[in-house]
Amino acid sequence: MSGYNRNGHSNRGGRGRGRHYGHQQPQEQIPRNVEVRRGMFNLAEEPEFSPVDSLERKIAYIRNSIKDDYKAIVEGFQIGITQQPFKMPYWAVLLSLVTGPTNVESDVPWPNKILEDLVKNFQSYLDKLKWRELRLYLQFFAHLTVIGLITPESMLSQLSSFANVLDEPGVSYERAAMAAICVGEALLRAGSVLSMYSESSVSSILRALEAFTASLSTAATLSRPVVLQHSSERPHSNAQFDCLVSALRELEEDNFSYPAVLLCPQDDFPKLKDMEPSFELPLILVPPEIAHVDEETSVAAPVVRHRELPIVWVHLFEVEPSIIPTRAGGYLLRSAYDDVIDIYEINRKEAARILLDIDRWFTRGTFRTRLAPGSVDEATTGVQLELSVMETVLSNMLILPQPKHKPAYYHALITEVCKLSAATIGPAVGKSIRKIYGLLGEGLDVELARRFSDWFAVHMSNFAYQWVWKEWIPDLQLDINHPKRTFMRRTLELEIRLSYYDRIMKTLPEPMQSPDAQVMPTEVPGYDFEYESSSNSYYTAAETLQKKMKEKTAPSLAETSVYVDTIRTDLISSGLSDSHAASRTRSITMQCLLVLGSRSFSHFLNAIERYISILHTLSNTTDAKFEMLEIVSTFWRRNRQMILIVFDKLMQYQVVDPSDVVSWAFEGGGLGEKGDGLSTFQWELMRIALDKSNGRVSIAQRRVINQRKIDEEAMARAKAKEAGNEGMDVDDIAAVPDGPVEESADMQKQTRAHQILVTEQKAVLSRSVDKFVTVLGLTDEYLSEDAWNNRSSWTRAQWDAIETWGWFRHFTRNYAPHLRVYKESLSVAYLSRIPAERPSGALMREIWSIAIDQEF
Amino acid sequence: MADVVEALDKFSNYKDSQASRDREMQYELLKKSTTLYVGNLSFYTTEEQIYELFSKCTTPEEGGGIKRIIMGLDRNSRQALQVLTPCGFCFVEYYSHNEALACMRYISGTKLDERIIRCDLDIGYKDGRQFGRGRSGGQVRDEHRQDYDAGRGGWGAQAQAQQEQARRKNREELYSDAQDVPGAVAGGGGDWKEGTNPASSRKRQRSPDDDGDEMRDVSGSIADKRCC
Repeated sequence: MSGYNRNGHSNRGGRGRGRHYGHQQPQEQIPRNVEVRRGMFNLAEEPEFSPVDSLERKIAYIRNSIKDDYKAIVEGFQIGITQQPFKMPYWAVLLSLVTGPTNVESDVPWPNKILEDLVKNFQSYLDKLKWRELRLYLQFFAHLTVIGLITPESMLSQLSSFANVLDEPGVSYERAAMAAICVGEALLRAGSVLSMYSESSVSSILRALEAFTASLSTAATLSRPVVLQHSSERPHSNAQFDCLVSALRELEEDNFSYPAVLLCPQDDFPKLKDMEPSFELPLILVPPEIAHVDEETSVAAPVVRHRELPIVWVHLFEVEPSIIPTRAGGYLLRSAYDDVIDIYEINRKEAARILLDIDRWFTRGTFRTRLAPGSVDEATTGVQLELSVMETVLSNMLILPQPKHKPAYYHALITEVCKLSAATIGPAVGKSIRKIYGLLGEGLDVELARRFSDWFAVHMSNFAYQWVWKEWIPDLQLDINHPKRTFMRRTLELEIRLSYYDRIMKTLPEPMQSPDAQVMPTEVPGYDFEYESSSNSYYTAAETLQKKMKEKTAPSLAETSVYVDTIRTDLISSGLSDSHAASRTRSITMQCLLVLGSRSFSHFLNAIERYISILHTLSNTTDAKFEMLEIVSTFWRRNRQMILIVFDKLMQYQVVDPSDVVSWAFEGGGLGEKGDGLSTFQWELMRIALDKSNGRVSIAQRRVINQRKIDEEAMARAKAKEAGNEGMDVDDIAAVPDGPVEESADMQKQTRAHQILVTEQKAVLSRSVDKFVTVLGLTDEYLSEDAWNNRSSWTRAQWDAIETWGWFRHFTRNYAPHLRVYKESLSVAYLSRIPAERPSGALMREIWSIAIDQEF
Repeated sequence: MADVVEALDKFSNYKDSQASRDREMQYELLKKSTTLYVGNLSFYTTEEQIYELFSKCTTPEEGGGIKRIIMGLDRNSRQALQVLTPCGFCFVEYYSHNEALACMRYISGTKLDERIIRCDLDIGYKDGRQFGRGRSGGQVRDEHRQDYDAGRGGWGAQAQAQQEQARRKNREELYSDAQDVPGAVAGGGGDWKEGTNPASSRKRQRSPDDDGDEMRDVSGSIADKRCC
């Protein structure tokens, strides 16, 4: 049986080689408990693997260590369960088979003893509401219930406690969803035993899950990957809970038989047959959600973002042999992949390796037999590993409004997967790209289209920019504003940013290289300096200013500033009005500064820091700030990356405000694309403005909280001193002193900063809603089903309108927590401008109310 | 998690060997470092290419972003060629520690400009560190390299006078104005401060007589330099 496990899996090379668990610095002494528990983690990973031998080896290992290193063995199980969940059936069997050395007496059987300690660990996760760990522990308990160690009664009571969360009044989506998945995934494993024990209890839990799932359908419309404005159809969507419930129903119809894809190593150990359940899980209550003040408010801690909308995965492969997550087997695979992707986020190389080897943790026949590269045997059945890996990783990256991890993680993970097995994964990457590309113009959410092109460019940059562009040549017939065309342009723009113009040009087939194709920019990225030519009327002023700016000695700074003012007064003397003279001076000065900073990002920073006082003087009104943005965008028209960079830093140095950037995003004419709506690039500008403003508030908020803590401690200390308890530890003194806390000067400063930034944040959000409403109110005629079905004849106005709707949708769902604070005033001031009877008014209100007034 | 697999953002062995701090102090700095050392760059890779890739790990919604990028320069090239040329490394400084860690997990070991780059947490930039430490003015590793590496000036330093690529021309003159004096490198913009812009506060109008240090105060770069 060597080379195959009980389920007939082949054991391809790769596992067990080059593995260095916890590679440490040589001089570091590894603690004994760490060393002992590490001996457990290669369970079932031997190259010549048979489950019986592998488990027997670990049983012997534990038997030898358990007397002296009991704690380490328990830790080994804790870590194994929560970090190698794909081995869960093995962990459960291993625990059930633990025995002690013959000379050591134990009043409780070893498995029960260890399990008691594992339950303590589970409870500590429960106290902290670590949902992933809780879910994995429940899976482990479910396997132990199937084996016959845990009583079905106590397992059911655990699941009921979690199911009760769904009935809590005002429960948040995130909390309910986490509890529901815990229950559902345990039920998928232990449904058979549990329903044999109490069919009615299992059924009532399942009905509760169904009711919860049904309650999500409206909210799920906002996180669907493919959107049809006029219809409630859900093409290419797999809502997570629909899948879970449908998988459970499938099992229910079959009396909850044990899922065929899951391994069942207990079958190989006769002593595990017909066990009398001897372990009772304790009764538990899922504690209420509490804010972990310290963790969430430290200035350095990442902001905790709570998920508000149901997860909907994009479904790429309809007929191909990928995962079908609505089936029990498919759901279990999908969830196993997701756990690997999530847990191994800290090491994408390991994540990639486990994913490409994941078939060994499921029964034979689940996956297609792997073929030698180049072989075209189509006769096999089952899931095709590479395709399913690509679909799962991509669908995680394409979760709305935000994926669990940064898109960059998924980019890097796919790169690793490709590096490990280029020959087999390459075709799966190609197929995935074609599938997503096919959804462009068919309703693919604009934010997903943006993420798709981001990934495409980064992926190509890792693989020599090799893409068969020629297969998209026929799409050059589409309207230039069709999403497929905009995708090509944006992707190539991003590729150029990561590489350089000539390099990318060479990767394209001739028809796409031609300027007529309008695929590539006609010129190398660069700037347009209005005053470059000596024929320009303001050439001399600009040239002189440039010369002064290039001088490095300190007096020239003042001189430059004086000269800028001279330009303005000279212009007034020459007959220009005050405001025109000011505008022209602004234009000349800003452009000269941009030329100075055009050599590199650092040069730009140096220029801006050197002349920051001039910049502040030039941007002293809202109109002036808008003009500054116009000047920058015109100057860098041929290099939009620089527009993003410069806008970002102008906000950072407080030369312009985020709300100015939002205005510009909608109204700016610098790109020659004025006012019709929001393109992806303009959305990106808007996003950096919104994020800048929210980021500032978030920092200011943490500072206020930190300051309060510092002040309270200082007061407590002062009080202790008064009372003569100077030596006392601050922790021993009541944290909040009696009576009102007098605000320190620092506190007043922090509070004031926070207030100003909150006001600014409200201005940014208001400006955004205002502008969206203005633009979207003009789009009634494009929203009907007939209009959509006629999209082959669409041109700019229609595609722009649909894209702007897409960004409004993303804006509301992504910034819902911020918008909610001002929902009344925003709604009254702006949304009410468009009557609800009009298609645009109705759609706007629908999106707004789903995102903002969430109720489950 | 180190039991099952090592995290990619665990601090590695790279040390600023010229810094005299003891290991513990260095570790304390790394624990909150916002700066990355990025190695194995092509000599021709631009700051904007670096910006594009490294901006994928920013968290602007938490007040993050790329603060500044400092290119590593060949300190001898000024004498030889009257210009300063990049020599294959840079520092990327973020506003937050978590952004730097994300790069270690997601960017280190992937390609930029078709080369596999390496990122390490760094204790923080200080003036002078933008220059390579090799005898030839570039990085030490290029002294001993035996292979031909078109992106890093061809053969090892001893055989530098090889034919150049087209891209080199553009890059050579770029940093001719770089200086090796305190304050020569911009700060990148600091935290929001009340009344920075005259439009939002009229209390403190800047006059042309304000000196350079005063201006840099806006960016916080002086404070940066003090702490590293």
